Amino acid sequence: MRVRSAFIHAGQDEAYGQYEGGVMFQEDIEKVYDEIDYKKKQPDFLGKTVRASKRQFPQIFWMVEDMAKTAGINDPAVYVYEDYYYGAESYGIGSSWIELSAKTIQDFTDKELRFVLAREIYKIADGVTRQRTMMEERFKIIRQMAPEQFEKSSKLSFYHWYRLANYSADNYGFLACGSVKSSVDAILKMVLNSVMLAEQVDVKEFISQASEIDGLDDTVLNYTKADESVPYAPHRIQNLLAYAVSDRGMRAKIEEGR
Amino acid sequence: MLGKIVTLYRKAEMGVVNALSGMTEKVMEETGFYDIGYMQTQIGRIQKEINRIENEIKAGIEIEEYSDYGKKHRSELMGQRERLLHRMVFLATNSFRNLDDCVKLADGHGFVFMRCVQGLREYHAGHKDEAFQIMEAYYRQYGSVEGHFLVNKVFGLLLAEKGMHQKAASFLTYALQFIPDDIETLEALQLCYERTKETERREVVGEVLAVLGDKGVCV
Repeated sequence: MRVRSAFIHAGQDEAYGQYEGGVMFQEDIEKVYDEIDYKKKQPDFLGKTVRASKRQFPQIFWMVEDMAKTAGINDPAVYVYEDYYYGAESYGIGSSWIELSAKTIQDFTDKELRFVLAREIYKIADGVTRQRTMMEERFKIIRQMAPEQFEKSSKLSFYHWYRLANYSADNYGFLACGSVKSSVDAILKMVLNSVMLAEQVDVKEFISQASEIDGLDDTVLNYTKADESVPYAPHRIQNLLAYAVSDRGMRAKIEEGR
Repeated sequence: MLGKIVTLYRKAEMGVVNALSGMTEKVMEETGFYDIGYMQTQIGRIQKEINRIENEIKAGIEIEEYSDYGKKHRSELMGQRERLLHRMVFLATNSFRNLDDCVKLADGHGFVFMRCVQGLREYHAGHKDEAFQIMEAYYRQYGSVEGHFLVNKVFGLLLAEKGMHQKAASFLTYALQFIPDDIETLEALQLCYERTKETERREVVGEVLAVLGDKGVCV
């Protein structure tokens, strides 16, 4: 099992404390979701996707089983669906699952797949998936009860924490796949949705786009940046490189190899 | 006309949401890497705040507010201004280009940290021994320079040149937390790990250099 402090973003727990203060209806949402919404999804999963198993997408099945064991959680089901886009996302409150697009399996190397799946395993293990699913349900309720501005501000607090959790997920993914290059390539492919585009990226120059983003500073620009649930790719790569060469990251990686 | 109203309304709405969440200005701190955009934004924000404080101090003097409260408030504002100026100089000295301007700005303020800046200037002028003496003396007295990329990088480079690779590696690693794609620092760190025979660490740095397209990489 990986020690949480070895990969978690330094500001994540503080951000959760701020967001947690505004959390409402937690128990009610959980109950309704597990008893109705989750059940409503089950026939669709079984009828419209392929569940990874020892006989169907076995490499995905074994990969997830191995990573779930390392994380100390039950194996989440992985549902493979057909889509034009790359995608790997976990969902659920009481029980969790991963939705993975077939195009991702087709175009990602084994190490890149490990990176994207490990990110989701981390989110499930650390309760990030649970909070995200719950937050989406909560937005539906807030929308009907309070002014739109309230929903938006509540969303921004959540996104702040969720972005930090995504940096932690990248660090975790790097430890699981063991390669800086595969981690960076997986991020690029996911964001650009194309192997060809990802191959054209000059990482050094791409990172400099983060500087331009940071230079954009006024009410509208800051709002737009805060309204993103996942950090921008250049920031994610910067964070990943910083983690890889940090003493903490090095120790964790070396420990992983033993 | 309608365009103006809609723009004003949407900006006001974003302002309300920003104020309610208190999150939008913090976005940049989520990574906090010292790239040019980050530095310009931070320094711009500090300058704006310094201007606001100076205007408030000026207004207090103009209306001849000399009550005890007025004096206390003014002294608090002066303290705030001093802290902001220190922060601005501290950030701006992360680039060699700003050193001379920062020395002028900090003149008469007694910022202890400016001794390190003197070390940076000597280094930039090619006087490495003088730079090392100044910086080593500073570190010996104060222990660390937290949150400064350039001071940690330069001291790390100087230590490496003097063959103190183990010690150099910790300064260079710390510097990379602020600019993780700085090739010169990465190359020096890789060399340190080579000398200390820490193969796994050397390989990771090598991989980062390769990802960044550095040609002379030994992975």
